[in-house]
Amino acid sequence: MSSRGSLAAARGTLRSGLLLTAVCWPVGQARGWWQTPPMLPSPTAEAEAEEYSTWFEQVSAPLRRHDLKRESAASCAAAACHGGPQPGVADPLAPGGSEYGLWLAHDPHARSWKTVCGDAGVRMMRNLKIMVADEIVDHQAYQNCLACHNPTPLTAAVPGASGGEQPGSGEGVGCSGCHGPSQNWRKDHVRIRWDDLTSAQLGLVPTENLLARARMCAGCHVGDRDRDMNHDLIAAGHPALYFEFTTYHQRLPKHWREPERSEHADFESQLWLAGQLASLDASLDLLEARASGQGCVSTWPEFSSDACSSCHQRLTPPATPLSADSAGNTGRFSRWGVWGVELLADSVVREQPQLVDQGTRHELKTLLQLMDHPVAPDPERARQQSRRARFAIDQCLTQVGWEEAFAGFSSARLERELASLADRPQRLSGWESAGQFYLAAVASRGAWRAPRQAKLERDAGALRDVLRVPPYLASPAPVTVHPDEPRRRAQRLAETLQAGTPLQASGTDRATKGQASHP
Amino acid sequence: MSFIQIACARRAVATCGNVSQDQACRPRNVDTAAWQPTARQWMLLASWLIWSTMTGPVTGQVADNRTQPSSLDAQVSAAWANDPAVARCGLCHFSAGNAFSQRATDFCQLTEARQYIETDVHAISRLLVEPQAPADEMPEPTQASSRPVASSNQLSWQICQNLGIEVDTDRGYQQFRERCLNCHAGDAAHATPNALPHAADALPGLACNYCHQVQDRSGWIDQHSSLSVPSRWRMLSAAEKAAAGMRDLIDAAPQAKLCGACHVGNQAQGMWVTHAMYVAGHPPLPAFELETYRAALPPHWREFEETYARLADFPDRDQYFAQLVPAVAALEPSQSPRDLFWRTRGLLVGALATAELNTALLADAQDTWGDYALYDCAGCHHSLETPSLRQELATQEIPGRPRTARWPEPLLLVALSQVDSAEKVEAARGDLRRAVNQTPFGLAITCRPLAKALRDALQAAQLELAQRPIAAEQAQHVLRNLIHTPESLLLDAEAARQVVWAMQVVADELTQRGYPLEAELRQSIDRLGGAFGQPGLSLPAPRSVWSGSGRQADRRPAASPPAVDASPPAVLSADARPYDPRGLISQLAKLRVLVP
Repeated sequence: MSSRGSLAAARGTLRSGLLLTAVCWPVGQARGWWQTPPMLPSPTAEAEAEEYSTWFEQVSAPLRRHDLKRESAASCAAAACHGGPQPGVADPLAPGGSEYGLWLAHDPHARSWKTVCGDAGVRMMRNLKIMVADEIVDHQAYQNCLACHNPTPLTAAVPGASGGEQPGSGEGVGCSGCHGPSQNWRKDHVRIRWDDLTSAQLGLVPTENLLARARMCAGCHVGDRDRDMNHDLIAAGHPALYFEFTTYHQRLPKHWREPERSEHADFESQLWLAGQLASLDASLDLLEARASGQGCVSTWPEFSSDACSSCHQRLTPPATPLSADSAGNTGRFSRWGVWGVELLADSVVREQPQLVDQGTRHELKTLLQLMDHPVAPDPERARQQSRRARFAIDQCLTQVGWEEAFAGFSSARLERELASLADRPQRLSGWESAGQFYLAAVASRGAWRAPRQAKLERDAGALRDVLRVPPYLASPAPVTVHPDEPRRRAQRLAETLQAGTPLQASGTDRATKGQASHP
Repeated sequence: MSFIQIACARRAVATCGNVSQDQACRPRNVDTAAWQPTARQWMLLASWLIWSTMTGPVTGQVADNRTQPSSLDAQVSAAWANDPAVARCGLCHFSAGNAFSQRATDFCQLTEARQYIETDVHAISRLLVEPQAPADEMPEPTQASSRPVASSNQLSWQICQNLGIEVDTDRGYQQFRERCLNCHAGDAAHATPNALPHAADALPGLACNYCHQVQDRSGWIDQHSSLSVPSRWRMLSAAEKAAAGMRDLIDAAPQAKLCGACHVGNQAQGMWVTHAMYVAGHPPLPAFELETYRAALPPHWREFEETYARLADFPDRDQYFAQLVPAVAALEPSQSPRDLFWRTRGLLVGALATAELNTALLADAQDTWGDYALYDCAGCHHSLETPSLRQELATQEIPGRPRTARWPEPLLLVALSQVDSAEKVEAARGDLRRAVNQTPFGLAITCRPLAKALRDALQAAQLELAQRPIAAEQAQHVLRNLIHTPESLLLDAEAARQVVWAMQVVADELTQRGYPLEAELRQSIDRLGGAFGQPGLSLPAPRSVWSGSGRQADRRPAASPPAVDASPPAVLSADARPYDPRGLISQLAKLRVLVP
């Protein structure tokens, strides 16, 4: 064959190859042929997951350090340190140094001990037989209460209790309750700024990092292995926990200042994302502890992570609309993690491949399927799978990097993800799902713009109205709202979000705050 | 779809023989023109229809209450007439005065079949649940009180849809059959339930033999009805009759177990409403109390007192009853069966039998262990208000855990006060409750043996109680115990309703037997239903409510007659006012002043 003939043959081959590629690539892309298969942990990876300490674990570890001395809030209250004169909560220009006074005067955490001592707390402890005849008899359960309500240990006894615990007065959730025991960093923290993990190793929670801050809050408001607010406590009178970080964060009287960050239009949506990730980690930590049964006050299976409304509902119509489990069975049982996990795992994660990869989604999906058991999921499998899910999330976030993850998550992005739920209204069914959707939608309000802003606020307000008191949970109170009404209004809000939301990111998602009012 | 069409479909299958067995099981898309009845069937049907429309009532009282048969009643009668087994019963038990009724009419009325078919809701129990798709798309409820279904048949269809059962397919209808028709069509009574076709598949409800015959053993029929051969049938014991195939239902214990198999459940026989079925829309089963349920039925039987009086000339009368009722056999020579308080005795024996059936649900649970329907409904379905009476009156159990059913407890405690074996039952009950409470749902390996032990203890207590003559003194003691029911047992509406029902049963019997209560006490007991709201103390399913015809079922004088309505009964209404335990506790506190 001549060289001209060889060249023609090569051109033909190249043309065919290009043509084949041009045809197959979009098809393969659409069908997912080119995607990496799900990350299935090998036995080695599983062993690694067992021993691995995730970032979330490390940054929240100071709150579980029992080897370090915890000092009361008064130790931080020197006038030259954190006990300076109060500048006024609303004055963003006031200098620091007044944290103790602000906390003491305004922060509800300073009164959490009184919650335990109050009539409701004492009644609860009597219902649980923690207290019998004015005496604490179940010390492990009592310490479980104090772990959140008075984490500075053994400084208090219940009023009226005649013995048992050391006498004294509780301080509620003091400085060490959030920032960690100060034994190792008390002297140096005024002049040295450590990175997150070094800080945590010293016993100081790196609260400037929103993820670490959210995880710190979630330790009590969701629970973790050392702080277990379970269904027994709820039945005895403790309110169920519905933690959403943005809402809690914005409502908390602050003893700190972060004006640059907090005034950005994306701040609330980033708080929301941090809260969701931290809640997910705390839920998995709690699940792991409950499934293992070691050092935990709960007995497997534990109901408090399920949707309350799935069981506690009226027996006469109209009942809560039937929901299906992962296998498609209708209304057989409640689902794990509906409040704290569902929206992130099922909605946002689905659309965020750069944030949570396919392997992580696989692990979460496997866990949700495992927990979709009518009675009691196998505890050892649940423990292993919750561990693997935590490991996968940590690996994924470490690879992406925290800063990049948050930089890419704007209010407009959150709004888009929520708008996609308009096409999947079954995910908005039930009080918990609709409530979680409402809070997420409000967290995206930084992206709300005229002219649809008014309609969004109106629809959000209409949804909030039916979420205030879930009627079927308040039986025997008269039913005034159909149980499916929250789902309908949530869908209406999602459709309104969808109506004004471009399907693809425009590249100008980031905006400045101040253009949206607060519903 | 009417049941005459269903019956026609069966006959079409039998005649043509070219329809598959599965198709034969499904009364759908029936071509009524294909029915080719035999001459005998025509005669049976014609005579039945003539009887049911032309013949006068048996007693004057019935005549006052009867209504002309509606088209539905005619269809039901025709369907029953087409069943050979029921037609055979009807030869004797359809109308008094025929050739077979010349002997021993004091033992029975010989109109039982007719009364049952025309008036008893059980005679149309399958008719009520045959799935029927709504004609149009069901409207989405927009108000709290709106209902998505208009009839029990549509409700049944909706339940199947929610359970993922496509009743329009052969496989789906078989699933419906296995889950629903063991109770609603009496399939469980057959030796090979759900293996069809069999003749009973054409019937609109429970046939005579569902209650009166042991499985498919029909040899007893000839024995009990022989005219030519002198028979000792009447003097056989209940066990001997059962061996021949007949279930004797004179005593309360077999009655309670028979009724309770459906109204409480029997897992071994596949008769049990699972939680998934409740979630899909099955109405909650009202807690079972034998005497109240019996009183709510139009009787096709004679009560003991009347039968005993009518048999005054029967020389072996006392021996006859002693064979069948252990309490009569245990009477002292100075005592007479007339002294027994039969309804109070039925209440107590029924309470033990019901508790045994309820415990057996746990003991027999294999694959179904942990199904939520095994546990107390009110353990989860309660108000979440806090602090609450539920928390104030909490028992020693750990709060927040599923628990064994509470509704049988009040009457069980009263029944146990009459027997010496109460301590054993209490110990076994405590063991089971603690085990179920210790780990949520209880561990099957731990709890199942404890449930079996409790079931055995309850059986022993039942045998003991069955031999205890319950007379006026015991009835008064029972009423006092009911009035002093612990408040913690009144939190659950079903348990509280058991107490009120029982008090009314005992108060009625004391009054009727010449032991009248003080007027204030009697009036207070009659007013106890006020705490319950809708649907109150009434049972939800007299036949008149469903079919718009038939006799008034409740023999108690009703304050206001139930409305005739083709829609499902009030217990399903969204407007039903919830039970108020504080109201009942307050009412009982006043009664305790009158009966310290």
